Amino acid sequence: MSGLFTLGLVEMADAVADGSVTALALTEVALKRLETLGPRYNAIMALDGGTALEAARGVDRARAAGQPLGPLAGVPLAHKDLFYRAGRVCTGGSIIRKDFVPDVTATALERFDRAGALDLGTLHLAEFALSPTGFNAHYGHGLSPWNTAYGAGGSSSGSGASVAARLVPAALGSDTGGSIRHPSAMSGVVGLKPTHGLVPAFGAMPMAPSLDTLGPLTRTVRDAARIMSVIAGPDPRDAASLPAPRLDFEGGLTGDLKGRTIAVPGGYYREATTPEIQALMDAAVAVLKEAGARIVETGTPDMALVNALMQVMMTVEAATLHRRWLSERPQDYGAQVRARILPGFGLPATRYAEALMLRAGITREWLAAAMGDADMALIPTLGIPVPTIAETTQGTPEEIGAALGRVTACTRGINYLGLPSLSVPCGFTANAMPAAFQLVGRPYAEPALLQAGDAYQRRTDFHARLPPGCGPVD
Amino acid sequence: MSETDFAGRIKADNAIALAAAEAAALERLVGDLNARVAEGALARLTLDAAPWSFSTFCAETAETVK
Repeated sequence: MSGLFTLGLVEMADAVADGSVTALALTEVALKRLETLGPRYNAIMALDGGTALEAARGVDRARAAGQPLGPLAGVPLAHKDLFYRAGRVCTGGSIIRKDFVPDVTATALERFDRAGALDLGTLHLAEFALSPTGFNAHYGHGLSPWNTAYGAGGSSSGSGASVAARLVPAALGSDTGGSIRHPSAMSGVVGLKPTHGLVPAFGAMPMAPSLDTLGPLTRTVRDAARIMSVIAGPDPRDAASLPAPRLDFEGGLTGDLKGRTIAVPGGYYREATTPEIQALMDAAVAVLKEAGARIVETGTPDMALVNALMQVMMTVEAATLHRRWLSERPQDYGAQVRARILPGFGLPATRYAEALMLRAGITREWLAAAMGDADMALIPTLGIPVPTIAETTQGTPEEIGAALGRVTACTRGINYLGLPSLSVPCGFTANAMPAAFQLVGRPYAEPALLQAGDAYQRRTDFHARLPPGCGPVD
Repeated sequence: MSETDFAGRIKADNAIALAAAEAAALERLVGDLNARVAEGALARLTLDAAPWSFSTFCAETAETVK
């Protein structure tokens, strides 16, 4: 049974369905690893083993009785601690909410429950989901399983570390400026930031609702596709989700990219990329070409404007949501988080309205310049090697801000554009830390992105590599 | 607007007190963001721009997805 932790999400679901393993066995292994390895990476907020074990026994009884099982029946999961479950504490990574008990359950968690997945507890995140590296002044920094001198990436730091270390096969994250893609890239796992609104945000602690998205972190693209099949789709409690079409996320995973065109934008993205990362991007493009994709080189529009628009939208919305606590409890905010919210208080209302009104036009500009007639664009997730924790926490506020800006250079603009983006691990840099590319598509192009990411993983093994010290637990 | 005015406005409007050094750095950042977005909007925004055009854009795109 000691090898069960190596199974992916779909493999676990299939094994439970065919009776070759019990949900109870999977849950016991996951709980043991969460309890043993989780603290090493500061990945855990709170576990609820008793409830999960009872739920696992329920799945096994249902199977034994011949009852139909959901597509994730018996699969043990844990999620970023910003998804509300009625009656359970949800901290949002803040000491202000250390005792907050919501009275609603997030739509995404409800859909996991209906699919038969098991919820083992909550995972670490940056304070109020506001750090790209996993920094949290109150609960400590989320640490990378590859090397604990480095952050796991944030803000979904516990999700990235837990999936990379094989504590759970998948975890939910949220992404407002890169918070799924940073931990995916920095921890060496897959992360999908969906089209804004495709996965309903009801019951997830908001940061900047116009930009917030929810999505999976997994080891394989195949597993991310299965999760999207479960959690995507309209919900009347989130108006942004209402136009979402019904998509087939799993049907296109053939490994063949003939007929697909992938754009490789130059300009801004090339300038934000170090030679070492660029070599990994070039190698990834070669693999996708080998899979049948046509590759075209494109340009990039004014990303300084896109990034500024994103920052206006994010800081004004976050400032609006945090004004009371920043006024009444300023000591309960870490300095880095406070600095990221404060600009929203100084901007005129006209700048925010302009950010709203320009959004569709700017998105069309980006799609025309960066993609042209291609199906998707390939850019780095991080244009730089993963920085150490010291490099993003020490120095003047301006120096720290600049270091964090380099981490988010290729991610934050995509949230303003509202586009889907799939981050896929594609190698390691000289510091032995993971690197990743992201595939960005038009709204609701997730099936095409998953098809390309899956084709890449069928030809590479970066996603199968185990961080040091993450083998079997006695 | 002087540094004191900037911090004073935030204090008056939002009841949030800024340290002097914090206010100076924040004013520079806000000034940069303000100028860049204002310039971009002047070059692009028209009277007929739909305020909620992004939602419309997503809805239109959704209709084309099979």
